[in-house]
Amino acid sequence: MTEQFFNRELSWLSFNERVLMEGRDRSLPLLERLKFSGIFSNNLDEFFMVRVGSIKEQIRAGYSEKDSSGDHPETVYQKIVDKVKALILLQEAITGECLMDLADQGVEICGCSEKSMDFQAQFHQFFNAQIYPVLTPMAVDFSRPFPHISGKALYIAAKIRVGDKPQLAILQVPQILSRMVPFKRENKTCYVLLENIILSHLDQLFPGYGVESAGIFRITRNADMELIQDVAEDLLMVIEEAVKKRKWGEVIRLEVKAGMDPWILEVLQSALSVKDNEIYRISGMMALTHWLSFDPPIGKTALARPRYKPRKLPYMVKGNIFKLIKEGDIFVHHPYESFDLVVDLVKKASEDPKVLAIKQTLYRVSGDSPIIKALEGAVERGKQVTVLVELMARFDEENNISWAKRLEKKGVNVIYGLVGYKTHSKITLIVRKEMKDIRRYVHLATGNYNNSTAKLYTDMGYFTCKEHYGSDASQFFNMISGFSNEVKTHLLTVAPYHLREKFYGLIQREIDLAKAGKKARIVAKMNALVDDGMVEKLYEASRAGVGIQLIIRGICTLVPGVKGQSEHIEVKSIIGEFLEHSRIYYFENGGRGEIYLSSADWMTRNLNRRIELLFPVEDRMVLKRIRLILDLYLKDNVKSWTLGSDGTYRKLPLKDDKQVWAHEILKNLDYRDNESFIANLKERM
Amino acid sequence: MNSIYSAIDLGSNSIKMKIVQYGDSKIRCLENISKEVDIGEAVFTKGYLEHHKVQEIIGILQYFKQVMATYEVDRYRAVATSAMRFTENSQSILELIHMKTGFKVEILEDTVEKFITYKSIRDKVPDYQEIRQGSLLVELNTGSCDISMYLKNKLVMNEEFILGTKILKNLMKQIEAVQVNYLPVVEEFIEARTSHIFRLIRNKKIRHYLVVGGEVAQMKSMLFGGRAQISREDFEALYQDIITDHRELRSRVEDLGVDWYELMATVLVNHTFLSLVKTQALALSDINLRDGIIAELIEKDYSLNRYRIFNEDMIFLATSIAKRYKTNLPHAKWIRKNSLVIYREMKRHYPFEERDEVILQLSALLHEIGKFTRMKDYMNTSFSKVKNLSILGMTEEEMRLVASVCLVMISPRDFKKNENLLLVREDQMNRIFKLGAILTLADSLDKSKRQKITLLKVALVEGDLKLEARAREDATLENWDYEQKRRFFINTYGIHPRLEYR
Repeated sequence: MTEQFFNRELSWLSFNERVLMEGRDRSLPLLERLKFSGIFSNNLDEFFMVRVGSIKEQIRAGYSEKDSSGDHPETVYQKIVDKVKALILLQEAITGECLMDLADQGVEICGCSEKSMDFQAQFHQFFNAQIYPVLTPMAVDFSRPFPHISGKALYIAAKIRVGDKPQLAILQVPQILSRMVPFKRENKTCYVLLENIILSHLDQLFPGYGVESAGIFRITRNADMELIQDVAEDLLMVIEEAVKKRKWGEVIRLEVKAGMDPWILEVLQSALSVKDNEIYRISGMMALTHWLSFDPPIGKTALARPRYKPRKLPYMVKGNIFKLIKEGDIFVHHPYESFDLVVDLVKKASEDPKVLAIKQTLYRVSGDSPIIKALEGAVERGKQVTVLVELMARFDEENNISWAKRLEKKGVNVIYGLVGYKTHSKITLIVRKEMKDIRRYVHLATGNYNNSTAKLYTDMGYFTCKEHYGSDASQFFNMISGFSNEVKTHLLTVAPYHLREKFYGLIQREIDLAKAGKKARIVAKMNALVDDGMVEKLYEASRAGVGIQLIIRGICTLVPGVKGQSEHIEVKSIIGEFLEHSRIYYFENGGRGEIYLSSADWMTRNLNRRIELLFPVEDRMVLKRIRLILDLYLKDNVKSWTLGSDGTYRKLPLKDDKQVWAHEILKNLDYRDNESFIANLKERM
Repeated sequence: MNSIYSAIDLGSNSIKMKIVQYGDSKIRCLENISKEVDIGEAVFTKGYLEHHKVQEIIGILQYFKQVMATYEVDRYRAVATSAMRFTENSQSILELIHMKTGFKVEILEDTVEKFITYKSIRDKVPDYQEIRQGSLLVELNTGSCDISMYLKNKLVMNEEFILGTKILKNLMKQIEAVQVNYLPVVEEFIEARTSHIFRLIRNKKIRHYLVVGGEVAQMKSMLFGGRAQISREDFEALYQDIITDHRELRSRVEDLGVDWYELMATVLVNHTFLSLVKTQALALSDINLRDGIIAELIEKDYSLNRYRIFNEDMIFLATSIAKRYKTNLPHAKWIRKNSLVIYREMKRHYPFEERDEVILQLSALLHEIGKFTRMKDYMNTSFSKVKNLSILGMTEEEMRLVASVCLVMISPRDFKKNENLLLVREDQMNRIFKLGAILTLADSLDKSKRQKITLLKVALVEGDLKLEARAREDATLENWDYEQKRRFFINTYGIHPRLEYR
């Protein structure tokens, strides 16, 4: 690293390390701890597919420029490899600890070497009845091409003897079966990994051939899609093609079970064109993502965290949502407050005869989305429905293509946004013809219209029917439809047009105020801070004496606490039960605090290459409430990590006995509305 | 329920749409969309629009249609301006647009476009009454430059020059190739083209200077940080910077994809005209055709008086032109006033066209302007001058009608032989006679041009048109002429005028 910037990839790995470390928190239920291990694996897969893939591309293309942190791509790659290997060891240790604790609780993960006849009988029966019919062993020899190996799937490679020569056979561990197979043993539940059951039955799969050795492996492919969008006439078709191609992306990681037969490894390495530093030897379980969907056995529910049920405040269940919004702006904080209000708005709009039109941006939508159903219903009832579907939402492309086509068939006006820009903003506009007036209802949010993730991600939403928001929303939809050049808005700021300038302007105002001896402070909460321009502007603010507190869940390339550069900047990261996803920007403004919510992080891609929205919170009560939530996050000392100027994150030791655990407080706080929220939260803090 | 209106404008550089809600005397903007599409460049260089460009226009209009459906628009008006006027294949394009989008687009003549645009001053400029007391409006468009002047609540001048941004851009490019300091040369050219109206502007009590037209938005954002009002000092400072060294500004402007030459054309034209007035500030006004169209739609539906003064601008302008041609104004005004009284009474019983009242008044005011150059037999001179006048709000066809009515009025006995009338469409002849008959009758009552007679009452009584009058001195000449001319009225309407003095 330079004094100025941390490396973004290493910063990301550091974030994933914090996720993994949650598995060490003994105050959490055991399965919750294992879930963090699963999240770690899942995150790491995506990191390899996208980020490592991109760095490998740079190396291959001979790109030799240093990045902001002062490293060449080759150096960055080697640092990633070293860090990942260290993290895998840590993951094995943490998972091992958890599994031992789990065994103490009566849930065991067994091998296949169990001698008891009863147990062996259960194995055989399960293998023959459930596994054997879905297995497809593939022999590898010179007469046929090496079979296609899917990314992220588990495979078994076996060395079998054909005559006097060894030959490789490959079979995929079936994904349709549960990875953890439960068996009964002396009234206890014991789980055996599916791949282990298959491994113990290899002789049965290759009768007449001697199975000399076998091992599990898994590959990761480069999934960093490059689209030539400028010439793409039919974006839908181009993305469909690209998604297909992704299945054939270059192999950038080969995970093998430690101790794999060197002959098997050599054949795999050669067939998959994998270099030595792309091989990762795993001693423990491979691919731990199965812990994400692992349900506790009957009678052991205490091992998992009780499912949290988002609350519905009294006013949220009152009759007419349009009337409710007309009475005043509504703020919702997910997952503490139910996402149903958002779904209700779209549902009611689809049924309400007064509603003329619904317009919405959709980025990631759940599989069986009630919002999609409501939109379809609206079209059937003769309303104008326009939906902007972002086809390039990473790893959701296929899903998005499928329901974009479905909506189109129903008669929804589906648009795919502006060429070259991902539409990441989250906004809904409903046009309603009321007694005398046309009234526009707007919902703006920091998170996606996804009722599933809304239970896991912390996000904020804002409902309003104020004229300026409605007028801006109309303009915004015209702009992203590609039929309007003007982006002259009153309250909303749109990236890539004016968002960067807006943020620079807001920071500059704090700088000017600080220099004038007035109150100046910035509190910003986001997912990542990766933009040299923004970081430098923050350094400038720090040098001017502006106090800056950043709550950044993931990557942060800003170096805090450096004298003469960033001594007034503090960076913390909160990792916990919910994924911190809301983007909140607070500016002290000489005592007249302003809060903005946004779909955008302070990342170059958000500011330059995406369609994003930033909107001010105008309602004073809501503003107070969000300000208080920020304070709570700043005070959190249970799930918070502080970033040091050396790039390491540390959990601060508790200075006094008072624990402030933001997620738990927000989950359990007793309140009916914004006012009681403010009063009660103040008491808890 | 309030009404929802939409106005669509197919301009040279963009297609724009505005949707508003009107109710409780308030206009609320719901949508204001503008999509750049270069129609002008293709038309002005090739003379026609190619298929792909037409498809692009249709695509945009289809989107506009969707947006209109969002609000269940009650009424719309879609118009096309200069680019479509000059397009050879405009009729087939408009048919195609109608087929594919359902929109009926009408091509507006320049004078009508401006008339409608200026109507929006009523809603867009908070102190519009103050503007009408004394202001100069300078409008630069793709094909032309338009200078208008309001004095004492009247539009007294509206001059159009073929001096649009396209012409000036070409000129700038050519001069730039041979002269480093090319901008003053272009300004010299602008002065030469427009100087004949300078005397009409100088020394007038102009209190406001308004920059209007397509380039205003860019001028505002590129050069003046979005300000709607700029001081004369700031404008002069900018002009001096541009003249001395504009490299940095030019690269900034061009980086943003703005046409440097077109922007400079606006600056130079305004610098030329600003030098004629003493105002201390320039207002960069965003009055536009869409707002004017909406004003007209509202006016029609709600029979509003709100735009009355703007509707009278064409009368003020005709008066001002008549004055410039040294017309006997008291006489012309007397005829206008009294013919209007007769017309309104006739209208209660006979069908007239919507625009006949305006044609009648303009004919009354302009019928003698030919005398300015040819006293003898001025009939044909008046005809050709009036026909070629360009008056805000009047189409070319309407001006031909005005000219024909003048012809009939001047020479009610011989007009049928006049070859100029051969140019008039057969179906318009009856209209011309009807208006001509009224004007001839009114003219006869002021034969001496001394306004001796006051018409007290006009009424159709028992099949006769009773004209009750009072004469302040001997009216023998008027009576004699009246007897000569009333025959034409009887032949046209089958009604006997009956002049009675009190």
